[in-house]
Amino acid sequence: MTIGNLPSTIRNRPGSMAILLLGLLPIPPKLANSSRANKLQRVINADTLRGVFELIFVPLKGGAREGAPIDCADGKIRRCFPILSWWIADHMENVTLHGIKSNACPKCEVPAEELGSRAGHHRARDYARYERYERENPSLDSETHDSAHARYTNETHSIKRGQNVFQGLVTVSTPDLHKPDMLHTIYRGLFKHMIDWIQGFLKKHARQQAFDDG
Amino acid sequence: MRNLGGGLLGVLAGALTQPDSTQVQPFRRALTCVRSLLDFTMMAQYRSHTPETISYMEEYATQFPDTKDIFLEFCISKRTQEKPDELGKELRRQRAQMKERLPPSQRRQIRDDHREEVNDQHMELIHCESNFNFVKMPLISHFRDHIYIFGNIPMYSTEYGDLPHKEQIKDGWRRSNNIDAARQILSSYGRQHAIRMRILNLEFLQRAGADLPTEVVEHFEKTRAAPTPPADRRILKGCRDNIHNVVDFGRACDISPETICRELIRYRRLRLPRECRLPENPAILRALPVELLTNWTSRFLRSTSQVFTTYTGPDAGVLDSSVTRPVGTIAFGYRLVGRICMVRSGVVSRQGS
Repeated sequence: MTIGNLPSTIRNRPGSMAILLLGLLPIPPKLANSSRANKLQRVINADTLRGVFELIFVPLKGGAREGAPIDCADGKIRRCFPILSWWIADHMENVTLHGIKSNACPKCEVPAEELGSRAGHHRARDYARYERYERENPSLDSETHDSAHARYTNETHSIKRGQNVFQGLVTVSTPDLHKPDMLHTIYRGLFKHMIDWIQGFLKKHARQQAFDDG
Repeated sequence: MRNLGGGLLGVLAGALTQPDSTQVQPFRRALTCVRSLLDFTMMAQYRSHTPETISYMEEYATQFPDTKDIFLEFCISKRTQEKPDELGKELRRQRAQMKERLPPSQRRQIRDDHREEVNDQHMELIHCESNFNFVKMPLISHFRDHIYIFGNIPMYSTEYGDLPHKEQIKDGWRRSNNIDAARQILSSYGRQHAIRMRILNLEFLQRAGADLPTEVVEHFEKTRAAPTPPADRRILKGCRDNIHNVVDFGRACDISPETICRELIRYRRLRLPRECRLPENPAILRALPVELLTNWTSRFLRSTSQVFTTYTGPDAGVLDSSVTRPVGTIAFGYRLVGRICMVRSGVVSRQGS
């Protein structure tokens, strides 16, 4: 946990102790390996995660509306409104926290088949809408009920129902919690792919030796 | 990694000089594609932006997906890679059946035909099966909107967020005794955090010219070096050559050979079974080649948790005595890798000190 009104040069310096360890997310013990147990395991994991996050977010819920008195460095006590504004995580962590599928973008509703094409023209995700939709159609919760609506929410938007841990927080825009991540998206993601492509390309055109020498 | 971009493009451009007439177009396209991605990453590292820089970024972000088709045939998923193998197997089986009935000259011709056919099929399959549908592609298209709303990109980097994985969790785990580790990890980091915060506060007060009691200043001067890791840890990492016997080993990890011999003998008496013959004379023990010692010393090093203390740095007395610090992983001889732990400070002195 850290606060947003620090200059980024200070916050990102390890010696400045600007980030506090709030808690470690637990991993429940594993059950035996079978398809039914796996399903149960997934439900248990999701429930545990939700429980932990509810516990973490309890102080935020009151504070965001009415404010809370907080001691400041200059000795004064100010009324502060703590609002969750980012969650810095890599893609798989975002997938778990937002309850989306692993081939979905947490920011927009781009379908899995069009990930590689020119994106940017898709509707932004609106988790509140999904939640409202769920509330209005409670029958969707039964597993056997495979209506067109269920397919609509699950497949079009690639979400897992009711697993977004940020649901129910006031004054928090859930899609905006996701922040671009240079390290995993570019340095360890696209750069790595690109090196593979370049290797293949050079091999095809017999220029590998020249590249290695360079 | 941040500076990889500049180097990569230069080397690639150097490798792709003097193209044939057929290669001109693909080479140019490949270079454009690589350059657009690299330019994009360079721009994304900027600490401040103007509308102009953002428009550049957007241009690169669209240029990259437009030109990336040139690499399509090299972006093969594992699933696609298996399919041509199956096809090839099928064709080979057909060919084997046909071959039996034909004279050798025709067989050769048929073989060549088949090879071409397989290659063609392979390329066709790759072209229709491969795609760029992985999730990191659309993520870069959100960078622009993000800058407009929230500011520069490096500010939100996960680089620092991932550092605590090591600092808080892994180091904490190593310091724990692995029983009920989560609690120990949390408290260990809490302790460190408290000390460092205290040091930062004192530093600030000292700089502001506050009047601090003398014993606090003294203590502060002593603890200031605490956050830097001890030098031993870095020196001892990795394998070492030229370690032939206990004396060499002692020299490498800065422990006196007498101490090692004494502890080895004690360990042998307490723990080892009777049939394990080990000389009790330190003089013989010192000269034994480490390969002979391998079997039982590895167990010794693994089981010992109370022997070697090499760290007597400035913060040894200041930090909590329950902070155990793995001093390093040492290649003992050629094969043996053991870990030496520090637990009780002041039990064993360093060589020469």
